[in-house]
Amino acid sequence: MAKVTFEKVVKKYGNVLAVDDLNLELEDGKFTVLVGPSGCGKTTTLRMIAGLEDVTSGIISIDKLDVTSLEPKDRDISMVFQNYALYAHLTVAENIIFPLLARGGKRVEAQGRLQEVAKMLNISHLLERKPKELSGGQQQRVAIGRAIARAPKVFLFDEPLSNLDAKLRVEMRTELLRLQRQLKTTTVYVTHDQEEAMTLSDVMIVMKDGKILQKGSPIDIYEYPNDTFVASFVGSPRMNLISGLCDRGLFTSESGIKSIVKNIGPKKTVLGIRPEEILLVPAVEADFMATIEIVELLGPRAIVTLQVASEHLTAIVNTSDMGSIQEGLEVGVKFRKDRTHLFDEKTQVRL
Amino acid sequence: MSFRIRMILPLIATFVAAVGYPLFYSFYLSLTSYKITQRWDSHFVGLNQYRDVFANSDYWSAMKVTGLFVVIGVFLELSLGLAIALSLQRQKRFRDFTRSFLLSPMFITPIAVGLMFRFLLNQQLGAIPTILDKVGFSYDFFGSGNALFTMIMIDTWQWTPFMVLLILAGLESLSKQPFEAARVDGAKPFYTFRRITIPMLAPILTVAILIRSLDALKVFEYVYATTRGGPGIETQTIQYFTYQTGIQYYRLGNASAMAYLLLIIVMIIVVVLFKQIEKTRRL
Repeated sequence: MAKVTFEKVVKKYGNVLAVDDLNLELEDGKFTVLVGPSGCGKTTTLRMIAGLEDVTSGIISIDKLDVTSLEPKDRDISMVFQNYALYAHLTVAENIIFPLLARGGKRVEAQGRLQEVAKMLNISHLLERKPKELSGGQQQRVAIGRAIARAPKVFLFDEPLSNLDAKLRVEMRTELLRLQRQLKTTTVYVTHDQEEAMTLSDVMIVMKDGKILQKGSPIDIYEYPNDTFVASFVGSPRMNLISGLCDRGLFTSESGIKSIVKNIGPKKTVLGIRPEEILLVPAVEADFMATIEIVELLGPRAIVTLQVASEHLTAIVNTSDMGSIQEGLEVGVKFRKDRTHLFDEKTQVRL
Repeated sequence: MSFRIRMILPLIATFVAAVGYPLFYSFYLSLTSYKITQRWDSHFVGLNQYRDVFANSDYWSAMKVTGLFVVIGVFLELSLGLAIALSLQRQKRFRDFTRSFLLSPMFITPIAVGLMFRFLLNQQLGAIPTILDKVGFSYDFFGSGNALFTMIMIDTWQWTPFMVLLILAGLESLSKQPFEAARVDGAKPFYTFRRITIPMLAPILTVAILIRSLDALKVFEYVYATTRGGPGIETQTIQYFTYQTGIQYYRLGNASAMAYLLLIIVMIIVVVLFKQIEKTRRL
């Protein structure tokens, strides 16, 4: 178990800045998820921890040991790759004990650990097979098995679930979480999928253009996004963002969307509202009126797209509350009190 | 006749004329007592020519010389080729230049290579023995006991680049991720080489060995250009021996039998090697 620290870490590829002055502390034993759109520097950051990518400047340390110039093998880490990176010519068993043997372990001693790991991951019956004979999910288990065979200080996961189908992804997610809770090893996990990030992380870090936009618990980030990018990146369906004018506690958009907000202004702002915080109410209670454009039924809930002049809003409504709601109908709309977010229109930063 | 068959007919006709006819005619010759000098006296002798070849100790010593040439030569080319390919793979600057430079021996016709070394290594007027002599080291490259090894060195000089080319292409087509995984897993370079690089490269190495072995088996030009089989019959390879019997001594029937015997032996080796390739591919 260990803490991972970044001090003023910069990574450049030629003239392209991939990671820009990163200062970060990843806590001991925590499950940290780096999330962001592709090209945001999250994978580069992970690979710098692994030592597979050189650091242009700055210091990375693991457990207070400066590892910046150490080879990957000397960093006491293990990693799960996006494409599993299994050794195709070796059996599952050989793959899993590879890190043990590579570090000079005895084959006989490795057998015991192999059985433990295989049992933990439910792959005991696959040990004599070659990776090619396994399904994607099974291959991923083997890759995870190889990573946990040793007890390293840090686990690194590089989008490990992105090659699996949706159902399997959810299953493996739960399993990863269970495994990490059990092993209590510091874990760094990279993904572009905000849902995966939300469900897995103790600490979530949103990155963009080589910079950290926000770090915190998933719920904090969900509830208090620092800026409009984080606001719209985290959560699904994404947060509605509406430009308008905020004048002493009243927000008004050009299209006629109105809401009582914080007492700010007069100022040009962007109002953010999560789909589940939009309420459909009788006309007398409404702040403004909207037309129901599309209703997408998900089962217990439905995604309702509302149209207000040229503006579209996404709302989530419980199916049981829907009553007479149907496409084409005009309804009253209200934002739930104190659930609106305000951002400066110019800087896009939270107000 | 269907369109498909008509379209393929020219190919079949060319094939029959260019490959089929010589093949069957030489097989027919191997069953006769055909000599160019006594063509009118040729008659069918069944497998007699084959029996004679089997009994000919010169044939088997030529086979042994060829075997040594192929095994040692290909082994040297493979080891050197692997080493050079591995270092070229890591090279960062002037890659294209070094690569084309290193590959250049391959582009020279073998007979020219043979002549080149004949002059370079000639005991009396060769550049290399003269230089060696100056530093007090006397070595007769085409002398008894040395000639076959010199022949192997010539082959290695010319064909190691081919191995480099093939292995380098193989190395660069390998997926990078297992190597990154091995770095993270704590494997030292030699361990990675032994347990990851070689097994992953195995199919390509097998093909490289196969191509080079078959090619080396045909060695003729170096022998023709340098030693003509000497000293004695030390460098008399199977191709050279067959050539001598058939073309120089005019005993085409006997030479054809030699060629067919060689063909059978080579076929067996190829089949075995192909089985091996199949096996590694399935893994």
